[in-house]
Amino acid sequence: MSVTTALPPLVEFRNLYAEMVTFDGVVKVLNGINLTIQKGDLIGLVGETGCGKSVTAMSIPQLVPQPPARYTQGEVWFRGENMLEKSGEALRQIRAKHIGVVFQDPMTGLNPVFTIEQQMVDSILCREDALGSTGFPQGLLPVNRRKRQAASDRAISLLKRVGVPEAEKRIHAYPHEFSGGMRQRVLIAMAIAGRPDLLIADEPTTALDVSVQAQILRLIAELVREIDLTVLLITHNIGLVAQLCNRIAVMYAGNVIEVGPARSILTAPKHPYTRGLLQAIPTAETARGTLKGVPGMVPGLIHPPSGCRFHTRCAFAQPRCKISQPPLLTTGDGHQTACVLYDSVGVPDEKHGQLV
Amino acid sequence: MILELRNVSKVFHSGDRIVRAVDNVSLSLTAGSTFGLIGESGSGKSTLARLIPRLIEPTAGDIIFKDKTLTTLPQRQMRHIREQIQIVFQNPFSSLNPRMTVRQLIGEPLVIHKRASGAALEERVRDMMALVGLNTEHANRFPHEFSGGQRQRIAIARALILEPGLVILDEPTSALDVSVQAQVLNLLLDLQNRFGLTYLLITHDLSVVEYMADQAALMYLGAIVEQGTISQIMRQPKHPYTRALLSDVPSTNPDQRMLEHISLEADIVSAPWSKVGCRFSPRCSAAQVSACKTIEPLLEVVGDGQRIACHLVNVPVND
Amino acid sequence: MSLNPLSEIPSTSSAPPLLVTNSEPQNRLTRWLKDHASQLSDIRRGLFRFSRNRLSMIGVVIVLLGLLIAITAPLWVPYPDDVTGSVNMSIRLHPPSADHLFGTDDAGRDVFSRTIMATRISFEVGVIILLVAITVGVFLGAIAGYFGGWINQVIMRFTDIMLTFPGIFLALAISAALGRGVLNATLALSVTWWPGYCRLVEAQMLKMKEEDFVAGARALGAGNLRIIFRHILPNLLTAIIVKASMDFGFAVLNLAALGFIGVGVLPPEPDWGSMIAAGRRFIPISWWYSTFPGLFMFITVLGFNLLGDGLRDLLDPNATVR
Repeated sequence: MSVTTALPPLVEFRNLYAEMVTFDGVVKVLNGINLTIQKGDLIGLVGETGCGKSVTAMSIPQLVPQPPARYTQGEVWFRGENMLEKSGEALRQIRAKHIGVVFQDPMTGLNPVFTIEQQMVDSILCREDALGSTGFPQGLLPVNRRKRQAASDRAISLLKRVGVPEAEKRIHAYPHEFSGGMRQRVLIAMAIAGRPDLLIADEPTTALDVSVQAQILRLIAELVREIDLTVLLITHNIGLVAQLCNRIAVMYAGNVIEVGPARSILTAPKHPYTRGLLQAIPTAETARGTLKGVPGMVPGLIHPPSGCRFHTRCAFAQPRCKISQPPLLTTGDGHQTACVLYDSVGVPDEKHGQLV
Repeated sequence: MILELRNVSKVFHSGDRIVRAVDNVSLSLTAGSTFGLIGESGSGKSTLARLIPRLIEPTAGDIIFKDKTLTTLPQRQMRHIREQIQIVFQNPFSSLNPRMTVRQLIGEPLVIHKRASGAALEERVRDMMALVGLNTEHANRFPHEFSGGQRQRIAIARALILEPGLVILDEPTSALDVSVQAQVLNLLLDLQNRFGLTYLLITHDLSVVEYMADQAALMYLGAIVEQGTISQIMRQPKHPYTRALLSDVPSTNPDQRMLEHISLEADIVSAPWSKVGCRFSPRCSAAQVSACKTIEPLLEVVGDGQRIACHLVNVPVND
Repeated sequence: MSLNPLSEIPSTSSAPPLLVTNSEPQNRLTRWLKDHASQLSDIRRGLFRFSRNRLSMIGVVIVLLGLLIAITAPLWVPYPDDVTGSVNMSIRLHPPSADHLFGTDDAGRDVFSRTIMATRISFEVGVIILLVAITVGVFLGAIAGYFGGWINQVIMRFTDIMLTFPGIFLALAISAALGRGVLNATLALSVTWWPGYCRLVEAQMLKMKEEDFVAGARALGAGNLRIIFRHILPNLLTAIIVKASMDFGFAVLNLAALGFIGVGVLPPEPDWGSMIAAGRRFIPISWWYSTFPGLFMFITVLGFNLLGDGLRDLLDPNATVR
């Protein structure tokens, strides 16, 4: 899939900078994010703890509380509108109708004192009529019987679609009667209830068993095909993105340092960090004791390293790496890398040897 | 054999419900090796980890450590045994007392067992910190000032300062990022070589087990369903659960598309075991025979030391 | 749906700064400061946050002022004899004036001096009550929470019984039995105060003993007592401190109540409660007699409440950003 298409992208980050004000100092959490997501993409945003992937993704529905965060530069474009300028009712409409979010922990994502039916009906009515600004769960109000019934029916069919057995009966249960995997399915159902354009899934399977994780992945893949969903998957699990995504973006310390087609990133990674990351994953072929990784530790972002934020841990660092953060450059078909090693029009620097 | 478990069981009573968290488990560990215990949530692996040093009392069975039967020892003598069996827990964020400094945490085993004090203790603590890769200048800091990987190093330092024979690692790297995990795993291997440690590695991560372990066993709902060398389990898995689990692990190789084939459906809550027949049958996608629903399969040898608990022993391997 | 989009905010102290020193620090002080640098910074941060809260700062000021007065009172009280009971009928019930800031009472004693000294007594008694209550309550609560079973039942049911006695009645009973006076009042109040701490510690203990780090300590071979006192209790310290700071105000209030009904500090010793009671008869006209002690009491209790609130906001682990 080529990046340059005639259609405007669904999501576009243009040089986004963001900071967080804390007592200890200002954390420079986003350092110039550039990323495009096309309609129909299933893109995995990969990176380790603290790299800013959640903040990046949550900038689209503007779910990052501002203070303590603030965006100092750049824009986030969604469906042709700059989300940073949206607020109030307009923002709520966008969130209700065009974006669905699934969070990490299915154990706390559902309100324990309401039944599934009440919560799903509330969610559906919110999205369809953009109601619910009273904050009171619609499922409890004796509001418009017909609407409520229609929403309830839709909820049941959604539950069936996401694979909850005996949906008609189970919908009246409370969250604690469901297992983690089932709860996550319910949350996914609620997220896609309004047929959103974009589904953001933030570590949706981290808290789940491997077998349940596989089921959820399969579900997401099917939904993408069926309802023409675009998915932004945030995770630190590279196996997941390998199996699910058609594109991968790798983040490190507030920057997207490599992005491209999944196969290309996994089989021919270019950025030294991406390589280090992939080498750190033990596979069947890794002989005991030979697992390499990335030496050192993730830097603090109050006083981040100058220039390329990875240079302090990079085996290929050069003096000019300290000066400025390299921009994303095209290094292949739809593949971009932010590293000086590739800056002569995407050709690797021969002097520094082994990188091809 | 440094550790042997014989028919160990643990039954929990909650109200009138009985939960067999560990059901008749037997295994043995060779000194200096790493044994991987693989299981998902509800498999009983963590309970088993706590049974061995008798943090929880087993309901039945024997635990034999270095030829001493632990299950019959009085609690007083167990304290002495605890110097030799240590545990590193999963969650580096909650397994260290937030109010104790690193020095106090690492030095505490020495204090409890009266092995050192004063300057000698200080020195041992510093040596340990250096060994696991921690900056000794940070000895006065509190756990919350460290990253997850560093906290696990503190936990490892604390576990090893008494030079135990057996270290139980309960999901030691599950909460860590991949590159940090690599560092911690390499540290563990290094320490094992240096001190001749025996590891019981408990995890759900098959790739970690493959990297670290020599032998492994898979647990499902409290019982062992397959056991053998790492190579046997990974390359010639025979039990349907093992095969399904292996196929469910997302591979970083994009050519191995796993989403296509059917593997494990439902989960242990929505497809519960009725206590009759094979505990895996509600989720088993292999062609089952009538015995599967009525008789519980026993762990039997099927090859070169490989054991599985399944009536369909001759299931053909097709990868 | 509950939202937690910030699962990834970088912890500001996730990567401790590398302290690279090649030379030995010059003296022990600098080394101590360096070793404890991050703890000091935590304290600084805490103080900063605390100072942001106007009301808590007012509370702190009041409490500190009260403490100062309590400690130094004997040195500067204008009419020390009036405190111990000299009688001067010629100047009885004089309104506030330059000589007598708060006026005089029905025995011609300076109300100001007596009010100030009553502060001292209130603080003394408050401290003793809390010390006893905390010692007994924490110990019993820790044992009950940790061991559970019949130990827990015995201790907690006993605590329940104690909680049903209002402090006033118990004080009355004790004074009836042992006689009136500040000592017995203190005893009575201590006895009714410890159940609160017992309950608090028991509840926290039940929660904490399931934590991973406790299992870790047990796995190391630590014995029960060590686990309770060395591992778990330090974690409960903040909850206890918060409760104690709130309770101080109420302890003082209770003492005053006892004094009011005549079972507490014995005249002629000054006590807010008894002064208020005595001054009731003269209220519409000689208003100063009851009003000033009442005001002092009100401000003191308020101060402790504000302090307690502020401390809770500060120390409550739920509120702390880590």
